[in-house]
Amino acid sequence: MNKKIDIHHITRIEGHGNIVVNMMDGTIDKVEWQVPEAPRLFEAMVRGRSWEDLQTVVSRICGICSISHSLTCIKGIEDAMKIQVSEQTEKLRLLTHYSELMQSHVLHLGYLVAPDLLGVKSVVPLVESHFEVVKVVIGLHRIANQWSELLAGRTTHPITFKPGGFSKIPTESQLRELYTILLNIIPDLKTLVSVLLSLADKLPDFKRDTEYVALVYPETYAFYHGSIGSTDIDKTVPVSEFESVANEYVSPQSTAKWTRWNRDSYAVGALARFNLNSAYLTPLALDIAQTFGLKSKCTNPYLNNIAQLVECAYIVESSLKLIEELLVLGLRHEVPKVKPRAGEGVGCIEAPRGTLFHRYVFDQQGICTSANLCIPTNQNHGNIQKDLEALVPKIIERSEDEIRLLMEMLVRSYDPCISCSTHYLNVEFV
Amino acid sequence: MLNLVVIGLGNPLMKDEGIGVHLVKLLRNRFERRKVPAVQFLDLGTSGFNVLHAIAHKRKVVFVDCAFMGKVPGTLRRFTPDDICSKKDLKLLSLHEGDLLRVLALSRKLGEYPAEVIIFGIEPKEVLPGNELTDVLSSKLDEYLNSIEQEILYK
Repeated sequence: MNKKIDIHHITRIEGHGNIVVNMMDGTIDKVEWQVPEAPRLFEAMVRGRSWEDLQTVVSRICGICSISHSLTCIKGIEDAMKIQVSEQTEKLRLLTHYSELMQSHVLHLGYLVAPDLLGVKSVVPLVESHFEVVKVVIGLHRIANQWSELLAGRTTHPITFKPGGFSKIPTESQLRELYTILLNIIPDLKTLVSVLLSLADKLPDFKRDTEYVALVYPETYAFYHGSIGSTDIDKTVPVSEFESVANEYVSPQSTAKWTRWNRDSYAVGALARFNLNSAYLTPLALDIAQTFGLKSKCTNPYLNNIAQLVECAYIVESSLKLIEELLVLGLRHEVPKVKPRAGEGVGCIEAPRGTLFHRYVFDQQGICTSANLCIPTNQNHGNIQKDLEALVPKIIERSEDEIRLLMEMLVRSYDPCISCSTHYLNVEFV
Repeated sequence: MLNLVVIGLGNPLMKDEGIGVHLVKLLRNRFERRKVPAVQFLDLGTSGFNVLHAIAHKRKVVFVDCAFMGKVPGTLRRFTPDDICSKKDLKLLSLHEGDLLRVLALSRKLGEYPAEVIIFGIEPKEVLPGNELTDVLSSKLDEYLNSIEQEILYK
């Protein structure tokens, strides 16, 4: 039996990735996850930039994770220049970060995963066949957008973050309004849970033991602070030493850098966070995990989707608590007073797709002289390859269409973000 | 002029790909100076799906974006979504690169589509990492601004 399956420019993930499977006389000759994306050179682009401009530049790396890149950058600057921030700033940043996580997870689940589970090619036909579901997804995404806009000044590419604090903060009444909105979306979230639960048997029962890596912080489901944890070892690594975790290397099948730590590959993202931190979930999030039978030490990569759903509930519950705490503190207009100084610093955050690291070096005027950005999707490439190598022999007897779908679903479950840097139209006139 | 949104798309770190974002910023400044009210200017960068929410139920939406149209670099062309079809190698909806036309199709299906949608496409010379527009496009900024302003003020 000979099979040659090429999935070029896989759809419904951001950007371009290819899956190639060759099989000759019943033997699998090649299974390859290829990432032919042109190198982005963002690290070179931030060199020579002022510390004051840096976050607006890096926010353009990705249209979906722009808040994560901005916050990681700001944390790196503050680490390098020994800038302390207030409790209010920390809470408002986390609240902003949650809004992006919510945007991204809902977008992924509703617009990319649901069509796979419902057997259609995109969300567009679902408007007719499952209007109520689409309405819920779009409603949740719309609220997450407004939530980002309130705190970040825009739905994407934030403008309110400054080293040391914020240029603009919401009013207490706006925070109260957000509180009510978040409280009111819980029923919609539960609807999404019911829909996905009814389709959960469509998620393949495929397991492959691997290493999971995420931020860990005492008694916390970590998104913002912490050190680097792994399911393979007990000790954690400070984020300042992230290069010793990522161990970036060049793979001949990719123009993006790949990573490995204690094994050939590791995974970051919602499932990694869940595997390391599920003991600290909030009540509804825990309830959803239990409903789906999702337990720590899960090794089914397709269940990253369910871990994202669990995180949606965690994000809403945690945001309600954060708003309550902010209102008790009372919002104050704080003017960051920061002077640049020479130094080196690392920022790290759990972006929607996993752990994101930025390292910067500044001279005395605060000009960036060196940068190293390590993004979640690059950390997942090696793991996607290993998953495909394990998956394909198990499904090779199935039809080409089924193999294609299962491989695409696997890649999509990682929600990879390969080419977020362009958005041009390519059209012909009719 | 109420309920009119002008949306710039693209990435200003990718040379001419960022023309939409550059132009919307310049237009916003121009309109603020002249105190023309009630026009909303949005830089949606490369956020793709956020367009869906920004345009919902608007009277008129004007997009400004870099567009490969097979024209001479620097060419500005005004068109509507019905005038074009996408040549992008994407058969299905994508989060990011799944192009504007598919988001507009979703908006239409949801019953949120604006009464009028106009796109100003500008043919790029280069889409490569870099902060600056190429000379071909930067030398025509006033021409672009004037054309889009006419659309906003008088059509």
